[in-house]
Amino acid sequence: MPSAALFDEAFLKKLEYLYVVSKKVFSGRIRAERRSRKTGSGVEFADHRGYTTGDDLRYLDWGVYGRLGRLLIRLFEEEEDLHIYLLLDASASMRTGRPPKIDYARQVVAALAYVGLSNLDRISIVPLAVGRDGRRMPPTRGKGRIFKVFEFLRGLEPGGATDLSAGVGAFVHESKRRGVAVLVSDFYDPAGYEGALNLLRYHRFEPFVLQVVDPGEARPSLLGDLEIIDCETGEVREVTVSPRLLAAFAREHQALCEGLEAFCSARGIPCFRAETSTPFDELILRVFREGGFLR
Amino acid sequence: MSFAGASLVSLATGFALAAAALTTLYVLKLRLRRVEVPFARLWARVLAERESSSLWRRLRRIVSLLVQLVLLALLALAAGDPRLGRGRDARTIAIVIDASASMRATDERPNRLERAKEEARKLVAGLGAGDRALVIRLDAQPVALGGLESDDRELSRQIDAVAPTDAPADLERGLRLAGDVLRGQPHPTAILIGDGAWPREVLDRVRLRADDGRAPALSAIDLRGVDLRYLPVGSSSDNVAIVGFAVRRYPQNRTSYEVFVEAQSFRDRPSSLRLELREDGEIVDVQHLDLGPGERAARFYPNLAGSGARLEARLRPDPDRGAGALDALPLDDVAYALLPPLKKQRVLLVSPGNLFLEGALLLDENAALERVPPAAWDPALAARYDAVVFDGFTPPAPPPLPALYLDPQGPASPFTVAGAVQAPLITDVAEKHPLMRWVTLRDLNMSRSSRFSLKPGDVALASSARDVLIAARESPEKTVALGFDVRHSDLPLRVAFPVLLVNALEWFAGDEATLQAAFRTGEPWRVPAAGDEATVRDPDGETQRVPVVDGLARLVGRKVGFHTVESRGGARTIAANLGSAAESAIRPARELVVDGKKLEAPSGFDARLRRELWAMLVLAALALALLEWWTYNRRVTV
Repeated sequence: MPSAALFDEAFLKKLEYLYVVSKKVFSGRIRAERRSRKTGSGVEFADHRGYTTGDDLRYLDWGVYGRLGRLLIRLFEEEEDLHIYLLLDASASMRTGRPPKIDYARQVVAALAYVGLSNLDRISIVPLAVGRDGRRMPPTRGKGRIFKVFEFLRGLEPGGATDLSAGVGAFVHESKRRGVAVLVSDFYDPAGYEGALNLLRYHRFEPFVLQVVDPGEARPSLLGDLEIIDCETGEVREVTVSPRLLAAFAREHQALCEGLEAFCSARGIPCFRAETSTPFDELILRVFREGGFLR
Repeated sequence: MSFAGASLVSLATGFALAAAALTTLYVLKLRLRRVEVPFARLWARVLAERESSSLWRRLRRIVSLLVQLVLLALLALAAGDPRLGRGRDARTIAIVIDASASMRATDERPNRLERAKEEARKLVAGLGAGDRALVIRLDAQPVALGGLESDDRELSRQIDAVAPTDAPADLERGLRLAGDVLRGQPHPTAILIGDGAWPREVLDRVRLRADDGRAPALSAIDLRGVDLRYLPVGSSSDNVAIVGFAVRRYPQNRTSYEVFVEAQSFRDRPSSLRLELREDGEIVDVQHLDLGPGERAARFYPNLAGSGARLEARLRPDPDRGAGALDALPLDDVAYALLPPLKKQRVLLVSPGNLFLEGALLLDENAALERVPPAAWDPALAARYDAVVFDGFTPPAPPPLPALYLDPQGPASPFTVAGAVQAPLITDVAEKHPLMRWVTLRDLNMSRSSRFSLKPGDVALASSARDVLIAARESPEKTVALGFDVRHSDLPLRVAFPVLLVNALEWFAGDEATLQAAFRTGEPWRVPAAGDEATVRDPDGETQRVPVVDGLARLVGRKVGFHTVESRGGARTIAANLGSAAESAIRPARELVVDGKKLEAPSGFDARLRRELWAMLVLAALALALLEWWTYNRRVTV
């Protein structure tokens, strides 16, 4: 599918629908836009603290002073923009699959970005692949910016090897503001994904994991004598594929996926596995339903 | 095991070449299909787990190669057409099956012929690799039922086609046919399957040995170099037969007839029999007949009278001595004959008046005589009569019916009158001509006689030196001419005169001479018929078309009983009998000695040799190919 056709009018309608539906889903839990834990110049009362010199007298609670004779300052919750970082694996392995996993990932990222932008969150898209340092979409907010997101995603050409740890390492050091970090990848990393997720956690990001899986890659239908080439490393291997070998491969792939889920579950990281055969809107709803992505 | 197809050397060479090509294809590294995968390491992990079975993987490739080689070997073997059993040189075999009347004997179940066919089938089933054979039906007209074949199904079909006949076997022709077929062929073998009841005279003329190097006599049956074998069939000689059956009407009284029956026993024990004579199915006479072992007895039935035409003589077991089947060969227990039809001849005498002649003609009870004077002669009269006698009168044109001329004159004479002879003496008489039967013309006196000049085909019945005085012609109409007036001779005073007239009228009628009371099966039959073709219906109702040449339908009859011959001239019934004492002597010969050598039983016929393995080998190869295909697609052998 050409990248231009990824975000057509029908896609936009679907995004709007997703936004409306997601609001209904989460209306019981989230009544307004996000609030930070900081206290400041908000309107919502949060707490009291003792008066110290220099405090603004406008926030002095005179009622308490009249009843108790103590000078207390009223604290209000300060409203703050939420930063959502969409970390998109743009390595060469994402190019494979039918349809290519990168296309599916683009749509998912665009949908999440739309929901975020609609909630007035700050959205930033960070492609992860060896040799892609510095090419990221800076944080942006406002529903109208969705087209910029589309443009960025369209211009994203997958390539290079997967090195999640290196990519996430660079990201955490460059991003001063903490927030939600949604990692969208196939997790085909020779060095493993554990380092990358730990890095996000250590730097107090709230990681979300979204694994994109092509069913054809999970359960390939190859047979016979083949020469398989790794699309990232160029590694060549001769294989005689038999049904038994295919079954073993499928088990191995399943083990890879289940390993990721177990790792995330053990660390309280929400983890979703998305098969490219599943419509992306269904995935988005599932992500919202299972909760955690929006507070 | 032996190979009937390609030789072992060529098979081995072919297999070696194909196996080498196959192995080369296996050794050659195939260009593999390239597939891009997102994460080769995952494959590496899977393969690493299976590394332990890499030895089996290599072995599987070898197993696959071996399967292919076995498949190739099976196909190569099939091409060789292998046969089980010991191989030997190919033979050419003529299987001669006796289908003569004696083979219908029921001492073997169901009869000897079926038993012989069964033996022949066993031989065919035991033909060796490369053996070729043909089947010869030995009956009155021996014939090869096909070409030299190695296909046992075709040979079985030939054997099935051997049908029984009621005729004697023509052994000489059968053996000559076998000799002709086998001459020049590798390892010629002739196998006689039958009861051996064949004429000793024929067997004595067979030549098997070529030790003196001289060509055998023309009468000899040349089977030199042929391995002649004999397979006897039959166990009993229990037979009595009617070996002779004749009937004739009395010449002077055609309403009566006489019958001659001759019966013979071929048993080793006395027989008590009843001999029945039937006319058109009605019993005319029954006689008791006691026959000792090998005894022959004749019975004569004179002065029988009746209007029937079909006569039948039948031997039956004496009811006082027990019932049941008479003997092993019922075929010759009955004989058939036809009586000549009773018919009065209408004769026209054209004469001014001749008492001698009229008196002699009136003596013949079989003739109805009418006389007209010469002036009243009209050719249109001819249609009303069977024969005409011209006495001293020569019609301007010969009539379209048989005619007897007495002293014809002028250019219209049937035989050209070349002059006259005074007081001739008869010197030569054609005694064998039916006209001259019982006629003596010695010392015949006459005053004068015309001298006839004959044409080709005319017969001189009586001549004086070179002068033909009495002549006969058969076509277009039977014509007889006497060159003299009987009144000017002493012929009317002799016995010969009425006899000559009766002979002439009988010859004109034609029946007596050509009608045969009964024909013998296996012999050529000649039956008067008109047109070019006749249809013969045998006693079983089967019909066959036969050619008619010179007014005679010609065929070789094979069945006993009454046959009907239909032609343009109408239908005619004829009777046929076996009438062969040699054939009725059904005692089987346990052994045959030919040319001083006892004929051995056939050998070297092993049913296993015939079993064709190639089909099974091809099936096995096919099964293996299917297995290979399945395992390949299931990735078991790759």
